[in-house]
Amino acid sequence: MLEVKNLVKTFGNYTAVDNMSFEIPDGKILGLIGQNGAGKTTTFRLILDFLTQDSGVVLWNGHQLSGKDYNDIGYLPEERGLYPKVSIQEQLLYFAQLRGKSKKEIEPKIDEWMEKFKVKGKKTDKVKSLSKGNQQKVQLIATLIHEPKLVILDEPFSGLDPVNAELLKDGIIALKEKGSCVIFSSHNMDNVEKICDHLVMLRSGKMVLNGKVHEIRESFGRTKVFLESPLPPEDILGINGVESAVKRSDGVVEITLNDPKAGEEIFARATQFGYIPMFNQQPPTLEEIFKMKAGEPNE
Amino acid sequence: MSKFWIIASDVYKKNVKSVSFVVMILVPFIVMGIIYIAGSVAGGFSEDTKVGLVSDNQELSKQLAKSKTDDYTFKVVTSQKEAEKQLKNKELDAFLVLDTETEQIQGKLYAESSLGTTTELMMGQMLNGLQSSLNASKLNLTPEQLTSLSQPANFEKTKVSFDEDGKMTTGQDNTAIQSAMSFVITIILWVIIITYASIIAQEIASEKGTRIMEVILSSTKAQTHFYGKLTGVILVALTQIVIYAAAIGLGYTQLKNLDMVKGLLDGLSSANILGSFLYFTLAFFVLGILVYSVLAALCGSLVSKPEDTAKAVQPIIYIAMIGYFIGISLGTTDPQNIVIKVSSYIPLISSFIMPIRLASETVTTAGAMISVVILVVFGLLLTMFSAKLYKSNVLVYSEGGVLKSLKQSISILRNERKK
Repeated sequence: MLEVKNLVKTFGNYTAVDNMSFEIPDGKILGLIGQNGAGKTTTFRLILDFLTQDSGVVLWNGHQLSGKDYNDIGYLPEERGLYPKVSIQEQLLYFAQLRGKSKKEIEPKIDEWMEKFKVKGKKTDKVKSLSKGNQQKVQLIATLIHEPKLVILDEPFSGLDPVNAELLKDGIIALKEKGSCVIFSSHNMDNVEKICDHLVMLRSGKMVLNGKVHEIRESFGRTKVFLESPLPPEDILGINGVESAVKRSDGVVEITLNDPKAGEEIFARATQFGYIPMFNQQPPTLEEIFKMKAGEPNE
Repeated sequence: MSKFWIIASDVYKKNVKSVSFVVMILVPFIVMGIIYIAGSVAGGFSEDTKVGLVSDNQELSKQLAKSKTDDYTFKVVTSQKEAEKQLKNKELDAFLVLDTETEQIQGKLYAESSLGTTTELMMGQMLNGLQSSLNASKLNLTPEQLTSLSQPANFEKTKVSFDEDGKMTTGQDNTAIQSAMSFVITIILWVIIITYASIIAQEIASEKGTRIMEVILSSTKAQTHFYGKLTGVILVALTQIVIYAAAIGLGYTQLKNLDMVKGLLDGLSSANILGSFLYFTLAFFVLGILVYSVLAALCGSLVSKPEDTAKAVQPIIYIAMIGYFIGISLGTTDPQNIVIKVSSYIPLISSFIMPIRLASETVTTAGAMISVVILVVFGLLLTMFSAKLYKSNVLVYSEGGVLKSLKQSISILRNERKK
């Protein structure tokens, strides 16, 4: 269980992290989203004790993170890097040894992990001979092979194609099922939405969103309607509480509401002549929320 | 195995197995081999230099033509024109026109290319000899008188010291052999420092540049990593020293009966070189390597990209160069110079200068001791400072130079300390 309480970090006059609090129970995944410079990496560095906070505490299983906990950590920094001239196997063994594992423990697992992430190449291949995507997978294996209890992944999906992103998602979910605490940052809201239990959004170091993914979405109200009906957009715009209605190229009209209640009126009008193929009233997607929140002026 | 040793042994294995290490080890042996082969082969191949001799004095010419040296032989040629023709046809390598008509012998050597300083020097000496005997016969001197004229004066130097009662005692002068040793040691120190400064800086800069450092910092303490790296590289240096020591030892047992080596060893009787001179010199040598390694590690942790390592090592090379050149230039010509006296106490350059001052015996044991203490204290402070700074250094990716990065990480360190 990771607890972050009232964390504040300033660099000179600049507040990088402003009163941040959240907790991740064992076996849960927290997604940290925010624009570039919002304070995500600083948050990770504070949790890892690379930086010292001005105030607030980070507690891991009830105590402050110390040297004894290093072996339980798996950390993937945002900027990727491996030793280019060293073989995959030596690399993985070295990092695992630094996490307190013995060569004997890790060696038999390497094949399994390489298979799991579908790394192309032999374990005796030097890292520089691998493609960028494969190097990234090797680094992910290095982050996870010692089965860490606290997993911190800074932008793990960046640079991965959808197939590999799916492999990574499976990997993260497998860790969660084994009871690890996972925290990761991402720009890809789709990934966040699918695997996160909990979501924190940062803007200029402040938490602007904090909660379960579906709760956050619902809190914005079901202000989106996707409608496929004979009703023309002009008529919809006349309804009270409708902000915009745009017909997409596939014929679906995308309606944004000021008031979710307007959905009832739209439904009634659209179905007055009987069957329609689609009426779907949704809260805004995370991506929309992200854009909305990122665009808000600072208080 | 503790994480410290995992890091140290990783650095050690990586470097010892590298091609550049093997090459570095082999280079002195290869160079020695080449010198040996060049020396023995060259002797067999070099041809006698044929020098034509043009002179109006026939008797002298014949006499000179008979006297053969290892370097050249004279061949009497009748006229300068004939000599020019033979030189053109490569029958001669050079020709000497000798004019003995006046009281001063005049020799003019004509050659297309230099005959080498040895040959030219020998010819000059030969002519000097001729001049002397010519002068002697003119003055009606006997050969004995001539010899006594050219007798050199006897000049000896004696090293003295004063005991507690102010009584003067003479002692054996070891400064020559000590100077030679201090030179050899400072050269070795210089080579080791420039080699290992780059290795250690590269080792750290590449990890920082590839961002592996962040992963490592989440696995172990920054200090552990810093000391582990340092220890690994120092072990590599130690390996190199041990290999050379073994080679010298082996060479000694194999070659100790050769005349040349025997002659060398006679001068090097152990009493001459043992004692405080050697101990202090070795202390400066070892401490020098350690302190420079720490400095290199610090500089390596300040760069953002591995490509910038050379830039980071430059200040270290400059410092070492200053010490080295002050040592070898002023050390021999002017050992009492104030610059050399002061600089022999300044850490980093004292390692180069103090051994030379010790060799010329212009410093007391107490002086050397003070300098060692200054160096040790400086080394410890630098190491602790570097290890502290290391954690903030590796998170600073500044585009500016080394100094700018240093400033930035010191401010981070201060910032962190306040809290």
